[in-house]
Amino acid sequence: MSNPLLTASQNAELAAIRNAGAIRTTDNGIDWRVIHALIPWFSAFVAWLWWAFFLLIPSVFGLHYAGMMPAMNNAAYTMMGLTLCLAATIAAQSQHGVRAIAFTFSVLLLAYWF
Amino acid sequence: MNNKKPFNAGLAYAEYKQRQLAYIIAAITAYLMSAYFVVGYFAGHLRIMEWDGSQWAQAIPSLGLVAVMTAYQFFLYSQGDTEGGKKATIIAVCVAVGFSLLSEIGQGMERDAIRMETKSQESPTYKAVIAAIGGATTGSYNPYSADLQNAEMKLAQCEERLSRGKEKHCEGAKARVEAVNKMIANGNASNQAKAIALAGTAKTMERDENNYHPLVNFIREVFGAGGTVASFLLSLTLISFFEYAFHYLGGQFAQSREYLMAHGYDVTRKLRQPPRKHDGSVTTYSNANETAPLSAFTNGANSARQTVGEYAQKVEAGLKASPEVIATEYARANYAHNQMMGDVQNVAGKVGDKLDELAGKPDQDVMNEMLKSIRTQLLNSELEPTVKALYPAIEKTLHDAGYETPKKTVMKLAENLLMHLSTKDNVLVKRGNEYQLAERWASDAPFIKESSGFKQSPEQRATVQRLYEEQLAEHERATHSGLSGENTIKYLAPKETDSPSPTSSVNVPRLSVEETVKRIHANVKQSGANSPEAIQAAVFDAYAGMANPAPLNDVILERIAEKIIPTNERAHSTNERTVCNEPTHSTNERAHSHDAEKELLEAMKDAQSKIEADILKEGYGLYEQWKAAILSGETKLTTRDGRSFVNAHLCQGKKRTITPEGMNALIVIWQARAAKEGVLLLNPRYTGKPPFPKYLLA
Repeated sequence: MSNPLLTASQNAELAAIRNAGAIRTTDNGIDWRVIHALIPWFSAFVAWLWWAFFLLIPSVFGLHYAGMMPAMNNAAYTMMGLTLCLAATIAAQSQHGVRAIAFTFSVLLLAYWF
Repeated sequence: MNNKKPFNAGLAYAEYKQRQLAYIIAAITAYLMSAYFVVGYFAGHLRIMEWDGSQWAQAIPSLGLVAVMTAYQFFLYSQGDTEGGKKATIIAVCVAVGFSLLSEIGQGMERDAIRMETKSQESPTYKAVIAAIGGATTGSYNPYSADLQNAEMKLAQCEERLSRGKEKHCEGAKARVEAVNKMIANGNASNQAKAIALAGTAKTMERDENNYHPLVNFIREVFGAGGTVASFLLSLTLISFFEYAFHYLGGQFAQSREYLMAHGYDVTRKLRQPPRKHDGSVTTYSNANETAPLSAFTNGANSARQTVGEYAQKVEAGLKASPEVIATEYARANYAHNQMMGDVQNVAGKVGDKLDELAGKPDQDVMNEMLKSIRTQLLNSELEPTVKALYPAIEKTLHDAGYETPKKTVMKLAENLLMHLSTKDNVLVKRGNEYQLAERWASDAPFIKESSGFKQSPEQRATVQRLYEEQLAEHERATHSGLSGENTIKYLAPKETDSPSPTSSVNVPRLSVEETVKRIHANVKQSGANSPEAIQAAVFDAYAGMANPAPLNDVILERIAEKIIPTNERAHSTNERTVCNEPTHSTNERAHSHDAEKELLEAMKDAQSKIEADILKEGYGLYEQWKAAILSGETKLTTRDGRSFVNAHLCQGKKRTITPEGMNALIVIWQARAAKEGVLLLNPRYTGKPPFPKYLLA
């Protein structure tokens, strides 16, 4: 399968790379790379969900401990959660998986403490 | 931001705006959190409606203080990676983070305290104690009141009978009243003691540390700390995450801004308006040494160097400008071109300073000439814009001037020159790791398009046509002059009639190229040189003897010498070269190429059994990086350096290991490929064993 546009040596080099397994297909049907790439996005999604359920809604309706705190204090911590969710999303965009998970974890911690 | 994808300005700008928004939200949050605590601390409480004048007087400056500190953090984090001054950077970050951490942690601890106190005071036991205290202290019922009433009544009756003489005395009745009063006093004292005891109990129950948040209790139990310390540690953890997120968003914002700017884009869609300079001109660059003045027509920063052809193209494209503006623009463009030689000299000065630090003190003129020469050669495509290609030219110039410069220094200088020509002069464009000649310099021919749709005034059309014809004539003259590079030199060199550049250190007008060549011819004729070597020497001597010649480099002087050499001599010389040298050289090259190819294939086959296919593929792709590192001297050709390189690029951060054999196999592939490309040569001293490496840099 030589390419007529390349020289003999270039074709040989190309063949050697191909033989070295440059093109590999998966047999089991699970593309782990895709799953790996989705984990940061999944964690960012979880962060938004937790923020909405355990920070935003309690703050707005004065639920749980939020009811016994000043409204300004609740607003500050809700915005802190928002910042962490934004950071998790941008980390996912930038393919910074570890950071995305760390920011999500911090949202969970904040929501539990809040 | 994914730098692996091809650059798209629209997407990059959208991403930049998105990150800017996220970063601003983070900054507002940081401000709010710090202000909440600091203002509350200064004013005493946050019930604004109840504040008096002194509380307002404390609250307003504290708001300002928090604003300044948050702004400081905002600008600090958005600077991206700051090179140099690391100690100052660390101190700055510590100050910013220290302030916000303390204030935000204070707020967190306050929230914990409120939660704990509220829970404590809502407990049923506490409420019962409070009720008991109330009962003990405020009750009006006394069990001895009836007895006292009875005793006092008896005493009164006794005294009445005593006055009528029916009783002898009332001592018994009096004693009874006193006894009852004593009993009442004892009962009251007992109640008071009981109330005090209850108040003590209530006080301890008011702040029951068991009512802290479960996470705080967890830390208390794990570390055996008090509630305040545990609350501090939990708040510190939460706030550290937030501070890191703030810092991270700032870094991402800076990165997206750099990404746009590195591709030549501004970070705003609005047209920037620089202020006027003292002399009334409008320029983007405050320092004339940096680059040339800016044209008022442009959105981009390079427009000052626009050729008249480019200018005309813009006018053709639909810019509506009056004839006066056209004239001004043309004057500015010319002025910019004339400044370029001075600019080159200043750049050379900077490069010279760098070289001064590294290798003695070369003469400034030598550096100026070298930079001009390299620039000219690049513009004439006589030199490729690579470190490797520039190396011999720089080394020769320095050597001829009597400087022995280390190889590493010369390589560094070549890199700096390329970078400078790319970032400052815009002669080159950097694409990936490679430099290319900027499109505008690919041809000196002025370019003009036919007008389509845009209506010009007769004056505009006449001006554009005149400029076009002038530039075309100049280009034609240069093209037919027979001297490669003359057009560029002529184009770049300051015209004798023009006012001298304010930045130029050479104020004496130069000879034109034509005049310089004529004088060289005359001098060579006078010298009477006949042989090719003598003619060449005479050309160089004549050029060196001129007071202020046009800038011609060695290559051009050699060509002039070749033109002066009689035809038969040249033919003889050419034949000799063709017959004697070329076939041998060619055969050797072919043999070398064949061996190198064979070696590369063998290295690849060998590597297949030692490295996993994925890693081999990835490693093969690292070849260009390795080559660049070898050429720049960052990595040596030793096995140890090679393995370090493989380790740094393929193992670290990817949680994978490669066996030493595998690393060696990969290094052999790279070396074989480099040898095939002629970057490396076989080391004649190589014996198959250390200490001599197999290859040497070509």
